[in-house]
Formats: sequence, structure tokens, C-alpha cells
Amino acid sequence: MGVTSELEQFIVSELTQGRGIDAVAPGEDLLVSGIVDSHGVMELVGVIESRYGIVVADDDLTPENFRSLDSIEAYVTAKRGS
Amino acid sequence: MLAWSTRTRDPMVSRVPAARRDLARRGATALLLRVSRRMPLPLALSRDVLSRASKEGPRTLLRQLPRAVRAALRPREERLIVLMKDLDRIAEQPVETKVRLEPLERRHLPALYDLNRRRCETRADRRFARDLDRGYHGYVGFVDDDVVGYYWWVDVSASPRHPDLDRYGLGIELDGEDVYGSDFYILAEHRGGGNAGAFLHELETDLRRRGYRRLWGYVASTNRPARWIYSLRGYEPMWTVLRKTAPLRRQRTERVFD
Repeated sequence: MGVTSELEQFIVSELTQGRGIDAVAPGEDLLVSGIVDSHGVMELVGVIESRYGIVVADDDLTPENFRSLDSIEAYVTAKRGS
Repeated sequence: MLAWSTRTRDPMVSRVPAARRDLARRGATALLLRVSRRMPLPLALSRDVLSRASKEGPRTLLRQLPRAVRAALRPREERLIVLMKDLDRIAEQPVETKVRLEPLERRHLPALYDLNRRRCETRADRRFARDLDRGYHGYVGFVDDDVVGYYWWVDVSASPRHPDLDRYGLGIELDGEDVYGSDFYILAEHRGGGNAGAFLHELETDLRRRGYRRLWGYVASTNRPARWIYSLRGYEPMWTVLRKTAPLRRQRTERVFD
């Protein structure tokens, strides 16, 4: 399973409980749509760090990197390759 | 009894009656190491150690502390990021919340004191009353009728200048269209769900309506949740200062890069 699918599963099962969201499109803006709030982003960072063995630097925690599943996957891929 | 004040860095006679009584009862000679106002640390010492301290200086006493306490006292460096929000570009808040703001007035102080108690920050009570006397401004956040947070701000007319501006060496110089914001706090149980963003949106809008164009502040580089919120709201990192926190020394800051 790829980064996008794994994180989509996490968001749907852990971050959007009770809101009737059962899927998140890869390009969907997680922030504008309110799917992920600030607490959710912090949880997402924890999952990314533990699951993919990378450290999200404080300075990398920007809306550009975490706006959508696509941008998160691009960020994780870049960090794993660096 | 001896006490070593973090202010004077000299041994001095303690004026803490309860500690003095307790130590007298135990027949101990002791050091009261005042790490902070909230954490006085009584430490029983032998006459031998005190005698060595008088010859070798107070660092001798530090070696008597448990390792964990010594670690907490070690100087640390913390990056403070100075932020600026252009109030001509206020981002809409995507999620509607129940948060509403009122300008902070004296009648709000009892509720704010309660809130300080809930966050174990009662030291802030005196500062809040003093800052109101000084003419500093603020906002109180409500959800329904409950006070859930606050935010303080000053403009160039504040007298005296806001202490943060000098104490932390932030390098912020306000002019007539500038505001410095500080002490943004929301109760933990009301965080998430867009409340912090809505709080900022409301206050940015009100400050712009009052004629201000730039809102300045700072955030610790390690405070990820706050950095995230400010980043979402379009606060731009301007420069970084390095704060050297040394509990037993005066704080020093220096600007490290633009």
C-alpha cells in the first residue's frame, strides 16, 4: 500500500470519525475542507515519522507540505530519498 | 539558613519563613535554590559542603543536586521566530466555529484569573492587572458564555514599551500602523476544530478595522502547533533570534540571521 492510501486510511479512521467521511481524494485540500485540523496535522506527523522512519523537521511543517495527500506523499518521498 | 538567589548569584539569608521553620525543626543547615518562583528547591547540606562552597563558590553546591535537576538547570538554546502578519491580507477562515471575541476589559479579569488557575499559571494574574493599568489591550475568547482564551496586544503608544520587545531582543520596532501581539492562549479542551484559527481571524479583522496594517509576534521554533496555525493564517517568518535560557543566569538573546 502506498503512502497516499495508508494516510487516507488513517485520516478516515482516526481523524474524521463521526463526520461521515469515508474517502479523501489525493488532491483534495485537507486544510481548506476542514478534513484535518491542527490537532489532526500533529497526529499525522507522528504517524508519518513512525511509519516511514523519517523526521519531520520543525521548518518542514508547512501548509505546502501538508495540504493534500499528494503533497504529503511528495514530501515523504523526498525525505526518504535524501 | 542560606539561600542562593538566581538574581544575585550570591548566598543570602532566605526570607521564606515556612522553609526556615521546617529546617530549624529538623536542625538542618540548608540551601534554598530558587530555580524559579514556582520551584524553590530546598536542599539539605552538610556543614562540610557549605564550608567548601564558601571557599570554592556556589558551583560546588550545584554538584550536590540530583542529576535530573542538574540537567534541568543546564543552559539551553531556543530559537524564537519573529512573525509578521500583513493585515491587508486576511485569509478567510474555512471552518465556522463558536468562538467569539470581546475586547479585554477589567470586568473580564476574574474569569481570566479562573482560566489562569486551570492552566496553573496564577503568576499571570498580577501581570494581567498591571498590563491593563498600563493601557495594554487584549481580547477575550468565548465559546457560548465560557471564557476559553485570551490574547494581548500593544501598539507604539504603549508606555512603558512591552517588556517582551526588550527582554527577548526580538528586534521589533513598532510604528504607528504596527501592533505587537502576545500571550495567545486557548484552553486545551477548546483547541482543534478551527478554534485557534477563528480566534486569530477575528482579532486580525478587528485590528485592521482599527487602522493597523501589521501584526508582529514571535513563536518558539519547537512549538509546532502554534507554528502550524500561524503558518496557515499567513504569518511570515521575518527573522530568528536565539534565546539562551540559563535558569541560573540572566537570559541572553542574539539575532542569528535575517
